[in-house]
Amino acid sequence: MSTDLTPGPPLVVVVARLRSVPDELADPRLSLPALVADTADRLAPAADPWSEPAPNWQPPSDEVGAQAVAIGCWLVLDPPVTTCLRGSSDPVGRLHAGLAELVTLTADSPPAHWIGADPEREEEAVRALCRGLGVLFDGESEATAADRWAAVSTAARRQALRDAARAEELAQQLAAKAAAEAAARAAYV
Amino acid sequence: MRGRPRLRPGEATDALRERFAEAWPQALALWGPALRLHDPDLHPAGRGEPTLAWFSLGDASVSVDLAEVSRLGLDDLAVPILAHEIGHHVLAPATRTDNALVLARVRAGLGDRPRHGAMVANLWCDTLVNDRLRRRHELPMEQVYLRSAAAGGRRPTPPWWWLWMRTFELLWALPTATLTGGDPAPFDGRHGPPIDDSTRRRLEADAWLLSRHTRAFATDPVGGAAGFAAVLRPWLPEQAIGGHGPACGGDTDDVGGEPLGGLAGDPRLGAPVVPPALDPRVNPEAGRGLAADDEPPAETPLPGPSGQGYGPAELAGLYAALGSTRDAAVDYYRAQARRHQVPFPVQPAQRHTEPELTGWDGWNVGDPLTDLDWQHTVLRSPVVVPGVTTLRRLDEPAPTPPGRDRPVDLDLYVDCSGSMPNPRTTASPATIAAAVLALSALRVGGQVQVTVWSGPGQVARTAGFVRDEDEVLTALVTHFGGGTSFPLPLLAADHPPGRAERTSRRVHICCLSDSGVESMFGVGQRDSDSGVAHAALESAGGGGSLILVVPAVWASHVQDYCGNYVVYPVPELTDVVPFARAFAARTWGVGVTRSAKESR
Repeated sequence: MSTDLTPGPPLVVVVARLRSVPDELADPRLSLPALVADTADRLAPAADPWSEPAPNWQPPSDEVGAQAVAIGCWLVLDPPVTTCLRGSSDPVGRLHAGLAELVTLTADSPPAHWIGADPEREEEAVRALCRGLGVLFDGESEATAADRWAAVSTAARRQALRDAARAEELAQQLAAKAAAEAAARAAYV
Repeated sequence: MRGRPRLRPGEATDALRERFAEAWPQALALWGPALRLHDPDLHPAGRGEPTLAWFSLGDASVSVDLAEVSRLGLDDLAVPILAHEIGHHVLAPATRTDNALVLARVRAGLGDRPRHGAMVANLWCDTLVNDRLRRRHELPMEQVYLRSAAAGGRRPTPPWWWLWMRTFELLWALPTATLTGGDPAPFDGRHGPPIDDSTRRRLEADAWLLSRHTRAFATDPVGGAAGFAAVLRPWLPEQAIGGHGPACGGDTDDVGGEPLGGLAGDPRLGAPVVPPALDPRVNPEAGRGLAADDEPPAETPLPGPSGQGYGPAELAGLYAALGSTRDAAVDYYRAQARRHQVPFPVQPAQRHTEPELTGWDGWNVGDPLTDLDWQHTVLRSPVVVPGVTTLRRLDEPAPTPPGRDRPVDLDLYVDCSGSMPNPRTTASPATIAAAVLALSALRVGGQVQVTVWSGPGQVARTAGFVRDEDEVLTALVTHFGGGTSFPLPLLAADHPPGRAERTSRRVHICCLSDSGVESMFGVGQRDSDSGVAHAALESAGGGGSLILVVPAVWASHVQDYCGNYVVYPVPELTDVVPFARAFAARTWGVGVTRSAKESR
């Protein structure tokens, strides 16, 4: 998360924007480098519009990652977000960091599975992007944002949930084994 | 209702009553414009227990303890409190049947701690209702818990309460410790070792699971009840506990009556419990499989997740928890039998029709004198000349009117000696099979006599052949658990020679037993009684069946000496359906049962 936090729009505004992602963003003919460059240009208009944008940015090779990048650009291009980033330091670097967070988040779960269906996942995606962008939602302190991120972040809980699933499976298997042994003992009484 | 001034403690109750009465239509409207409930019962002094509000599914009422409202400082939360109680009528549990099902599923999820069932079921329904109101209508549900905690003073928070409050914090995006107030207390709330970091992390993970679980089952209280209880179970103390925060209760005085009658057959009762940690809808890490070093030593093949069925003992436990006085065993076997009912044989009724006059003909000397119709002979001529003036009637049988077939009655003998499973504690396949026969007979209008028998003198029976389903099933689940001595004198008395011809009713004799069936054919009996079973079968005229809890090999041995009785071995519960079909096919040539057709 960027240490230089910029006040941004309320969370609900960005989540609403997420729910209105146009279908055109899923078009495989969409040029991601061009989209990212256009987005960066909105944040920090280049002196030379024909110069190579974002030289250190590499588009993801998989389809889900590409969708995540397109969605991230769609969110950043929302005027309330664009406006708050324009006055910040290194807006293009923040854009790349935010897109990287979103790509990581969606690696296990394609956006099409949860946009419009899972509010928690939507909040997690929006928070992940804004953590990378260094944007603080309106009405939230840094501590509140961190607390809420800990509450919705699947990644932050992955190990705990994996442990819970493993413990539950072990408990069930041990219980079944104990029941089978008890039944065997009863059969020989 | 936010922004309304709060009443000072001791302020006139009338003002509080008026405030709640005003809020009622608004609270109703939150659950839909068409919802109608009669006005809430606003009790100025409550009902003598610390319950903030409660609902009754029997008369669809909502009650509020205004004194408790005032004591907890909730006087400006009329809409949240009333809407919450209405939610129990609309969302969870909504109906008396679902109320019972939620409790049953919670008890399944609690495993070895079913004593907490009622409280956990209430917590689960509260969770769904609160989350709906907070999420959809932004009602300040958290204020009820915050204010109550403040009014009650800071008390140690037991882990289960901490977990529930933390779940709300996650569901409603509240900052950490808003409702939990800090770390949980040791397990019993006061004593024991403090909660360490590892336990705290487990609690946090469980709260997250519960928050996901709540959303996944937001509209399915019955479906999510077991999972909710399974997460809560390890955090509950072994002994019974009271409430911790503001209490909202359901009225359990009205759970008796017919709605529970259909409960026993609900397939959700015996569904396996899927812990949220293993439910992919809740835990995205579920189903990833155990690591190789996690595998427990498996010397024998391990069965899958809980496949335990829901038996009469479990149903009895549920009824007790619900405060119902219904006979769980009767309901259980009725539900099981209804799934497999067979069309019972019917006996074509004898057609008795009056002869119909079609005309007269001459009566001649030599014709039977009884054929002479004196009345018409004299009317024709007062002077009677045999063979000249005499007349006889010409009668023909009338066309046969549609008649009703008479069903065969069932005489059922149930072995309840010590070698037979007690049908009240164990799901007995033999009892299910017998119930299938009995209910099938009753369904088509037959009469059933049930005789349960064990050792000498251990006999109980219905009051003869009856048509009362409850009486039949109650007799069927009777258990003596003594010796084995078939009551041959009763069988002989019920089926004396020639009975079927005299009464024109046929009876099917059925004996439900195990290896003790040999006493029906004279083993251990007086020598003079050895042929009673065979004679009774002939007299009854409706055939005989022996339903035996024995291996198939043993059954063939019985068939050698039981004459015309048909032997049906039923060693496992899964054999009941094949039994029912075989019964219909072998005895009356019915290949597929009507109930089976209807169930498709």
